[in-house]
Amino acid sequence: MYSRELDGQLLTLSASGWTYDNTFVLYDYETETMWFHREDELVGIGGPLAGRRLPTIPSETGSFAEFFERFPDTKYLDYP
Amino acid sequence: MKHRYEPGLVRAGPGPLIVLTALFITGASCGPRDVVRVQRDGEDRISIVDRTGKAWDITHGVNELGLEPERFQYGLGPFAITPIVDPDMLTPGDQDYPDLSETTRVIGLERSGEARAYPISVLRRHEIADDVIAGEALAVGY
Repeated sequence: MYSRELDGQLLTLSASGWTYDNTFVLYDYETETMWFHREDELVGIGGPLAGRRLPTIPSETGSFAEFFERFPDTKYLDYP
Repeated sequence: MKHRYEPGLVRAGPGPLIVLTALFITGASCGPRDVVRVQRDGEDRISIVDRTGKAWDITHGVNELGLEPERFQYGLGPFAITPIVDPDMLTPGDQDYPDLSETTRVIGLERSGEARAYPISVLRRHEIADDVIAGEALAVGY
């Protein structure tokens, strides 16, 4: 999970269709910069935002039941 | 440096099951390319070209992070896997809200008092959900 705000602008991140050593490489729609996960952050590896960083945000993996027990107001992805 | 076309050989080793499963689900053609097309231009820009013909600048990654062009695989194109963007969310009490004992595996987070959960099975298909939580713009990934 990453912050996708940079210089006050929001980036729309997506898979780029590339992997690197079996890890998905991301890019942003706005500048087509590729973003590579390294040392707990995303780094722009080419294009307009090369060298810029997007920090990771802590998240958890588990069952919905476990998460809901701690956060009974949890919003849940509405996906068809 | 004049422009030259420099193909590189990629070992077509087995990808992890999750990558192949995601590609299968999205209907994309499977298997990493055997050759990653690497492009260098007169301004010392290094790019890799995907199977749609799109060139991706990786100059900084190569020069500053030591990335090797040949280790980029698949190159399915920018729209092969599309993210979920600004999704609707169910709240407790909504008809389709999951049962509190639901064992579905989720990625969950809580920011500034707001908690959200995203089923991993959905994130595997889209790789990223671009969302906003308590005013903070985040990309949720698995």
